[in-house]
Amino acid sequence: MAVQEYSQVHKGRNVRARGTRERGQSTWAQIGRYVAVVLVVLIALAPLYWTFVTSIKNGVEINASPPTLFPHTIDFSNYVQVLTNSTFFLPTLRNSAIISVITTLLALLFGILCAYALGRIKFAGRGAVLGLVLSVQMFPFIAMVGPLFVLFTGPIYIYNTYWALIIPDLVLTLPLTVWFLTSFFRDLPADLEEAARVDGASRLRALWYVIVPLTAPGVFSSAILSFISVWNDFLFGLSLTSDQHAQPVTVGITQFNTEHVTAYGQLAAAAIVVTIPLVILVLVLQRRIVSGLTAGAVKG
Amino acid sequence: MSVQTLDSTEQKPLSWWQRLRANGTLLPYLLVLPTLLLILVIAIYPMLDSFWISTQDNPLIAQPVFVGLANYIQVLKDPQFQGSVLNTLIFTVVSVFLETVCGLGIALLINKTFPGRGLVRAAILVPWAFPTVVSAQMWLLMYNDQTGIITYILQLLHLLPHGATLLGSSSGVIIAALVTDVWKTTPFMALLILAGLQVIPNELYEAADVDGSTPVQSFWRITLPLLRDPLLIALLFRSLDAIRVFDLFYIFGARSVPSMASYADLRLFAGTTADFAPGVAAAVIVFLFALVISLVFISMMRNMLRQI
Amino acid sequence: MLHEQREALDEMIQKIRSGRLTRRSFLQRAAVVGLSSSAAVSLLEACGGNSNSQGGNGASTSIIWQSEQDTTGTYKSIVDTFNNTIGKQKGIHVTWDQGPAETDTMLAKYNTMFRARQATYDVVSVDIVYPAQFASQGWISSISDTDWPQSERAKYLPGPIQGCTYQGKLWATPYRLDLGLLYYRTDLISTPPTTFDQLVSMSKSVSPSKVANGYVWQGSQYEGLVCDFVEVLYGYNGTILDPNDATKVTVNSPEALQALTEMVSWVGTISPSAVTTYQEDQSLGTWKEGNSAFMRNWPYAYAICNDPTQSKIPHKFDVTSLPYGGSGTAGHSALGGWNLAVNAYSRKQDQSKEFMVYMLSNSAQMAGILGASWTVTLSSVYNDPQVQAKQPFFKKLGPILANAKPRPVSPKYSDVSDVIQRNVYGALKKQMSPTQALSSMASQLTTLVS
Repeated sequence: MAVQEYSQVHKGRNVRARGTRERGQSTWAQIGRYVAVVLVVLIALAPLYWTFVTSIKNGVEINASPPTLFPHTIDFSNYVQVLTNSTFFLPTLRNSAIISVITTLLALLFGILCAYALGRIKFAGRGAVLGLVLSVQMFPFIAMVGPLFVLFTGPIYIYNTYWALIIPDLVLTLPLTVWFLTSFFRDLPADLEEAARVDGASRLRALWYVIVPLTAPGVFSSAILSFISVWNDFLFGLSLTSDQHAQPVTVGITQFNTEHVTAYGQLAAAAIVVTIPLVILVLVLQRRIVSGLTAGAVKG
Repeated sequence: MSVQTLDSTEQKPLSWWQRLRANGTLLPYLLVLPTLLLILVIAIYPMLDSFWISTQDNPLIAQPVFVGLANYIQVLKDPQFQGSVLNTLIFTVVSVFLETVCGLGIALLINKTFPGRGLVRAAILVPWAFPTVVSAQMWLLMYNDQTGIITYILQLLHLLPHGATLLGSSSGVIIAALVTDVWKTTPFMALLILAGLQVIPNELYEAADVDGSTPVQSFWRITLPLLRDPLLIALLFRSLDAIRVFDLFYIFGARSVPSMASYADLRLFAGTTADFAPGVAAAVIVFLFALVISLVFISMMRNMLRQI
Repeated sequence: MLHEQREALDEMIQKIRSGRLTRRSFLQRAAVVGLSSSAAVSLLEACGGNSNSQGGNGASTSIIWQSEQDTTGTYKSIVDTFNNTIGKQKGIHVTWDQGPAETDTMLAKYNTMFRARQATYDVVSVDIVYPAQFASQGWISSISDTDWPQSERAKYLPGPIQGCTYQGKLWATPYRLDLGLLYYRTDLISTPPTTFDQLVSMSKSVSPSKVANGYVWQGSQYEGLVCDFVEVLYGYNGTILDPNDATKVTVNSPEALQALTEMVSWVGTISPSAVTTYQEDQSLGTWKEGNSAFMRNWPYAYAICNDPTQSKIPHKFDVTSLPYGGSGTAGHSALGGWNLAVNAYSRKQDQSKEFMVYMLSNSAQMAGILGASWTVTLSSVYNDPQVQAKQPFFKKLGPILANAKPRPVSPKYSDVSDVIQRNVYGALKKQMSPTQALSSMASQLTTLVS
């Protein structure tokens, strides 16, 4: 059954029409459907549009009342400010990139090993391990922040370094990585791996040379998901770093919004810079992301 | 990993190392060990430590004193914390409900093939990929009373009095957080549900058709029951996420309308050192809520879990 | 910068002095430990300068100062002057490090450094409300009569010194201050109000007929609300704590009730109801768009509002003292401001205090007022003709400065502030009556301070 589902999710192209019935729907119902779809898309994209428009308005127009839906002025000075004059924005952007990449790689390394054992080897305590790993998903991260702060400013002094974020971010990503990869690995037909092992390859060799390449799309999906969730972390960044030496961009961006000066235009420009990579990632890789997102949940 | 060792494993009793290399019984344990260690050290240990810290007067000084449940009593008696519990619970129940309903609606909408479906799916995924705190800032641009288009529209429709803003009242902050969260997280729900929809065999609907049931009837009789498992998992994740909501209330509510998590954060870092331990106590209370939610869902999913 | 990084730096300084490290590799390593390149060059100058003049042995002591954020470059130039004059004579080299923009971030940074008992910074700039809190935890060193003689202290504005005093000792030296001002539109209001009654009636006479709002201020639940509240409270002759006995709470008084009732009555009438979400910037946003007749804000807004590229009302406004009411006879501004304190964990106490006293000197104070238009603390600079010619704005500040008062001084200021914020905010939001708010504020404050 699992294998069958795997192929359905991954060959989304072929099963698109599944679950829908081609019974005579009236033209009105079809028009209604299209209107609803357009509405959903508009709502999904409206805030992005508004942010973009705000980012290219000049200072006077941003404050204009009533607000202008289409900018009368086009002014890129907010981007210039954010990218060249801000002392914290680019450093925090770089920090986020480094932290997200390292965390993702580590999560994949640990996750692949663990998921291989969980997905393809029968051993006592397997359920307990999976349960423990998944139970972390239940922890509110705020409950870990206090102890980690005490730990990172005392016994293990890594406060305000990359490690202060990479370590807790691993907790953020590892459980889901393990879960996704376990389901990908489990659904792979057994004969492929067995063929490799008959050739004399050890299990680890088979994992590296057969299973990982075969499930590359799944591994890639969970890497993207891991990257996005680390990139999006705010709480750990806020609590475990203090300045642009290690602060992630999610914290950096809030600095455009200080007590004395809220630079709405710059805030908007910074938001666009931070989200554009994600928009591109989503548009290009949406099929991968969807399969990653749904893999664990649907199959259970 | 050398292949030769495989042959030498049959002669004499094996050392633990040989057993490992021979793909023996220890291998799976060795493979899960790094992950388990990491999780024990960086998740379970801090979690347990937070119970310990929450019973001390001030963990940041050299000789903290054990104070039992005093920090919990102090936090629970604080009207601001009581308010934060209420805010968080309302937020959790309403956001999970709205996201499920909207998600189901969108999933049914795009379950049918139509030109441009891929693009639509990508478009609704865009909000999901954004950092919550950045989404909050984007919505803040629209909510603020001076330049915000939402405030302007609400005032135009007389839903808000002139000079007021949504963020000026507790209910307004919760609504603002709800709208932002529904906008951001519904796509996630929709895609999970869509995946669930797509594995429902078409034959079931065809059979129902033959029996003459209406689409609405087959939705209730076929679609929903078969969606139960994916829905429960999605609901569990969403509820756990919602109960620890931080970013949205940190931005929209700040000090005046906190969630449980943002209340805890304020105690931890914005007060004096004596506020640290009560902050940890508040965070532990969030954990207890999450625990209850998990137990409720897991008891509902027992059958499904047995299959794993 | 971390403890280890500081140690690494000190080691590098030793090496470069003894010639075991080249200039280039010093700069590279300094970058590795996270020092900004300008700070690294500055350190290098310290090393170089001294090895020439004193032959290695009496090498200068390097101290690091973190200030509040200064984008004008003034602190950098003051430090350079110090290093080239007194610093050179006495063998002290100061490295200036830029601080974060937001005061909350800065407080968190200090909390962390001091909680870990570190001397990353030898000298720190602290907001006026924190010397008592830091002092009570033993984080900063007291300033004795020998460090800064009593006779000298009389030459400075009294309010900031009062704010830096805790248990009879001085814990920080005031460099510059901030104070609340009433901004009014000269094209709408001919004579500025002196009492709150006048403020209200003038607001009603021009708003909404000529301008959208009467009065904008800071009603969000944060530190700024404490400032706005104590200003009205002081104007009505009320106090939060007994000035002679800081363990006695005096806020549940008829004067305070009048003050809070007054503030509550503004919300939704002369002030937009969104004022309860306003911090400084939102008030400024409304005001500089020309949408309000009055605004309460700090001096920083003055220059922004006179800049035609940012403001619709350049030269159409002026500032005056905040109003008073009830039995009050003068308006009082809440004092904000930045003060220098010495890290108690620093091993370079004498050198740090030497620099601290330099920041009080006429030359450093003049540099601040002329270079960055800061409201510095040495009284005599305001009479300086050069200052008056360059910054006519300061002439108006004289009488306002004389009446400015600090917020309550407490070793638990963060908690005191939180209690005041919550209760005042509750009253503004009409979640409780002013009477209820004051009595609950009084009882919560009593458990904190006594």
